[in-house]
Amino acid sequence: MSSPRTRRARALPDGAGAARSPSWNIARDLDEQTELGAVYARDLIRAQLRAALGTCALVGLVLAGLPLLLSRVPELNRVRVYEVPLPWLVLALGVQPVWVLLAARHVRRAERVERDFTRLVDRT
Amino acid sequence: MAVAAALTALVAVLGMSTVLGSYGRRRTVRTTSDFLVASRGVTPLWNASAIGSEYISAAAFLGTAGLVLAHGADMLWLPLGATAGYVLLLALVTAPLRRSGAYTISDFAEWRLGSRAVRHTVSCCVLFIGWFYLLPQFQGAGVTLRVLTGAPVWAGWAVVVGVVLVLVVSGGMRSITAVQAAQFWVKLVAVAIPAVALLSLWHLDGGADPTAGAAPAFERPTTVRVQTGVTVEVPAEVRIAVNGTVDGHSHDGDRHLLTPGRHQVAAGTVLAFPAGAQVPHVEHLPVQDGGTWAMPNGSSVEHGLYGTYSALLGVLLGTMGLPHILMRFYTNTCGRAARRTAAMVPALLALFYVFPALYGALGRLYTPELLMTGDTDATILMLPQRVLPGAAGAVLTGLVAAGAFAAFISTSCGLVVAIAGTASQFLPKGGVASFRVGAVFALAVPMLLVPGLDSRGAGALVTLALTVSACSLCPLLLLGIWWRGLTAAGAGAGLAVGGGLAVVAGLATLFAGPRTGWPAAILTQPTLVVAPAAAAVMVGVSLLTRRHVPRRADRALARLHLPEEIVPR
Repeated sequence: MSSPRTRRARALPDGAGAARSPSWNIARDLDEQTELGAVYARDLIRAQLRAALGTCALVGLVLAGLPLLLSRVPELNRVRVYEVPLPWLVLALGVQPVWVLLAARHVRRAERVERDFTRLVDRT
Repeated sequence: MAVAAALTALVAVLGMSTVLGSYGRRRTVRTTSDFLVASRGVTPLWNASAIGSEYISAAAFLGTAGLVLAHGADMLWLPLGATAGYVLLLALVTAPLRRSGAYTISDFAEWRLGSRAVRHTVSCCVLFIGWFYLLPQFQGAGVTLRVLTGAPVWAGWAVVVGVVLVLVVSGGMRSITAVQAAQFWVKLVAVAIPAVALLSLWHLDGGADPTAGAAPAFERPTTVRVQTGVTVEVPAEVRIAVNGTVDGHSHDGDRHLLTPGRHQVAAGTVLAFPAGAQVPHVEHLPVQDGGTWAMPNGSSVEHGLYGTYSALLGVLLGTMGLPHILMRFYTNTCGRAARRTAAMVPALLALFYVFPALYGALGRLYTPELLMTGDTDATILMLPQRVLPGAAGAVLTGLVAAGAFAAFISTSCGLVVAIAGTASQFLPKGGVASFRVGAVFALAVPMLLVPGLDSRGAGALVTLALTVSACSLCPLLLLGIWWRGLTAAGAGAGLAVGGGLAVVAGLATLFAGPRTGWPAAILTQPTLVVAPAAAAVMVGVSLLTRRHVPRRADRALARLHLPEEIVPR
């Protein structure tokens, strides 16, 4: 199904992602396509999707809201802070830190979802 | 003196690239894995620097400031969309894509959907996006060298093509990772230090307000040399001295009355404007008073709010589908490292994007003649000499020149690796040899096209590359990663509709005459219409061909999302 190059590129470097060998193995379970593995995986995907959509919604809120705000309330364009027009301050300096924070928040959430999942599988 | 500084900077950047490139080569045995994915040993910060570097291309380094000078605050949205694109990339794509194990998007599409046809469609999209993006890098290098040293434009192309070819062919991904990551920090310093110096000088100079007053005017008597022939719109009657050809009449240093309206200025003409004269604008640029220029609400163009939203969406989604950026995540050790890498990129880009707007604003005060010559991309390059004549200005010019060349080289390297990786799959042999052939092919095609490209066309091509990416590869990735119901037929139909419409709209804006009203607004910024349409076609056709959902779709999705410690890969 995959090209020889992909197979080569996919080969693992030594030691990376080395698996433990539990008695019940979700990897084998998935390969054999039993119900249990699929149910587990679906739960994880749903949880990750929820986290991702939450982050997207926040990004969308800022990106959709700001242009609308500035075009509906034109007075904001004339406000000046230290003689710099307010929109310039917001667009050039104000919004980028929001993205940095959102990115950090998403990494934490996604990794928590994965940790919880790993723990759940280990317990099973 | 500025010429010497610029050439020194160029030599320094080339030297640095070669040294870092060969350092990357020496460290390990050359294997195919080294060539393609730097043996996956790249740490998140190093990889994030390389990604930031790849993304800060000619368009970002030179273009953003030029766009702000030419069109005003409306252009401040683009950097926001670009950085936000990485947040979405982090949330939706990076970790699953890394875990798929696919090396290129074409490999991903074939692995996920099991169809050679879809694979080839994706490859076509990748080639188009890559070349649309590569052309402006060459064009930018040509303009930069011409503006700074007076060299012919092909000299700049030759330098970039030569360096990129050597780096990519000799060392592959490992070489260029080192070069790109180091060059990110070069670019940041190159844009930041001159900005701080220029800002202090502007303050000492009295701190004139770029947003005040009517249309831009020459503060002091200014001599403008027109390097390529232009048609300009003269706003108010002005008496100037001309040496060269205006409207077909040749002048030899005599006084000439420029009447309001359109005038043709031939290449090589020198015009001397008196202090206070309003700046003629090249025909495609709007003449804006300070207030309109400073407002970011699209008030200066028809359907401005639609334009703002569509441009934002184009950059946002387009960033998610850029093949050379996606490929970089594969050099991380695992999905988690890829995610952490993606999370660092917004911070790096946020640092960089503080500065271009500043140059744009200062450009309105100090280099308004660029609005007449149309070389607005040269704003960053011209400002240091204009504000600070003499040796100090030359040093700062050298610094920005170094940053500009770092931008051309690192972006071109990434693009060539992505194109070569995709193109080499059409060759029978595979491995390092066909990768090298692919790299030569990747550079040869744009070299044939670049002579016909002007700076306006270059800007349009970057927009086109992002639009095509947003309307084709982005929906494919999102649906492929999160929806098990995607079928090969659905993906193929969506790619054809989205990519096709985006290219048609781009070519129509480039080559067809000017339009007005909604058709113009949609053709200039089609993303808001075409991207949802492409996604809808993918979903619709997939639902119609529901029976052909790949049987292993569930397993593929599980593989994309399960962490490495559960499913080792």
